[in-house]
Amino acid sequence: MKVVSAGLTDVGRKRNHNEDSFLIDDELQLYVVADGMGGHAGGGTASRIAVETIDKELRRAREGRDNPFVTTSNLQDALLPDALRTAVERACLAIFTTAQEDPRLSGMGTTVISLVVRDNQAFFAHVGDSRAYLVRGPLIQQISEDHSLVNEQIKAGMITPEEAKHSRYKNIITRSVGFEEEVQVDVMGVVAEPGDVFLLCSDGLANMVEDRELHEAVQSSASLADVPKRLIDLANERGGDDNITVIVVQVSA
Amino acid sequence: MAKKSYTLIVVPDHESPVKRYRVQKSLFLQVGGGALLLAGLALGATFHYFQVARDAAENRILREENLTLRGQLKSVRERIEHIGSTLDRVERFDQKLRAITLLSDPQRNLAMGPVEQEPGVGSPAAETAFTELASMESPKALTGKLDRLSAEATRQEQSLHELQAYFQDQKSLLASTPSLWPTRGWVTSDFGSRLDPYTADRVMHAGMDIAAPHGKDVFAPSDGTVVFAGLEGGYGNVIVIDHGYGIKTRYGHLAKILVKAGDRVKRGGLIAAVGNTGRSTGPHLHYEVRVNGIPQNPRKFILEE
Repeated sequence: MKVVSAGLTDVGRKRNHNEDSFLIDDELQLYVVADGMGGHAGGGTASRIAVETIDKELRRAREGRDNPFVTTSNLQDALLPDALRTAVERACLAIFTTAQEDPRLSGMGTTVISLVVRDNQAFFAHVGDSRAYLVRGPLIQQISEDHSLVNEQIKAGMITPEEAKHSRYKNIITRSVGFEEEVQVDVMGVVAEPGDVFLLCSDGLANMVEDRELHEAVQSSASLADVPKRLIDLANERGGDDNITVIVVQVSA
Repeated sequence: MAKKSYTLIVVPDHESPVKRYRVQKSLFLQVGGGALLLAGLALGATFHYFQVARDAAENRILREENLTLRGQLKSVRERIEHIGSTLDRVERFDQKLRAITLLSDPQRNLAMGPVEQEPGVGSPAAETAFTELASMESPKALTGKLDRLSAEATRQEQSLHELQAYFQDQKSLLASTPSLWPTRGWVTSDFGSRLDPYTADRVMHAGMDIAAPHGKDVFAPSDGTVVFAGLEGGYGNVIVIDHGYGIKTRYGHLAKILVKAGDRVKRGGLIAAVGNTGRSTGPHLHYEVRVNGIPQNPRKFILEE
């Protein structure tokens, strides 16, 4: 399958520096969005280390003995989920170690949403509240489950999804990469159909724009390359509370 | 009056002398009266005897009749108890249907008006009444029992009528309710707090585990759209179906996924095969129902036996 991608990041309207990082590696067909947090320069450093480490680790794995980028007939047998998980775990350790060495970076961490497309299979590794969506025809579906306090509150029946949107605690995440030495990484895999669009974004977009608006932007844009700009503009029109990062990846036959 | 007397002369045929007896009239009258009295008594006794004999015959018939009536009473009582338990079942079903209608949002409850208050107030009393009645043996209680049963039946009928009217407007909601078992097997772990099979920690089990042979069919419990079909960490192969009205169902540890994201599925449609993928100790289906993101007990929605 052919894969095309586009990505963009923006500082937003309220923050004075951008702590998001993203990676588009069309050769590996690896895409990562990381939303850093903590310390003066910590957030940006954490997210940058995350995307760099994940890229480096997957490239190294590809050269290694057990190349995870082999074609497998079904999702269960694929090696990429574990390779992705390991890459994010290594990123976690790298960020943690860096923070230990420099007190100014102490307590930094980042979210990670990463995607690898291999043939017709798409794999995700995920920590925190950055999101991955699948847009397929009339369907838009969030594939990752937010590791956030409000999501835990929703699942416990304490608040409704509507209340969650206006919660004071919506920025609190329950897992992050690099804050501790180890992190529990969620991995997902789906079989891609020709025409599918995967959208990765930081919460700067997800908190400002409804799912159906994401869907509409993807469906109605003349070119995939226009989508990130259009969505970032929309988030900024609504206040641009946080850094905004968007990657769109389209697969076609 | 002078003492009258009669003389009885007995003349034998042969040579014996003639015998002469003198009998006073009063004695004669006394003996005559006595004989008459005796005859009367005998007649009365005979009459009484025939009467008693007739009663005895009737008694036998009555006894038989009594026996059959007793048998009939027993079967009537059994039937009433049966009706009572049927009504209990109808009552529970009614409550289940109500539970389903009340699940989505509070505004929907209001649309039901006073209907929803009744089961809470009326039913527990009615249920205990049935079990109480079952132990009563006196036929006198039957009337009361019947009265209560018919009152209960009327109440149920009315309640079901209201539900029917409600569902007429809510056909799509009904179609969205995951009311079938997704697969058949032993429920090895129910919804709620349990010991984790791997770590033995007490954790919340957000779904229901149904143990079934590897490869057994998994069916959609109601209409919906597949929103996820793929791998998901510890749950292995996973399907998520969105049924609308905030209801989503999840199926984990599948061996095979037969649908893809975006597919429309019908109630009873084949979607997957039971398996052992992910973090699983044996072939089983992990089945979850979430309403507005909150995991609910799947049994609440299953209307099948």
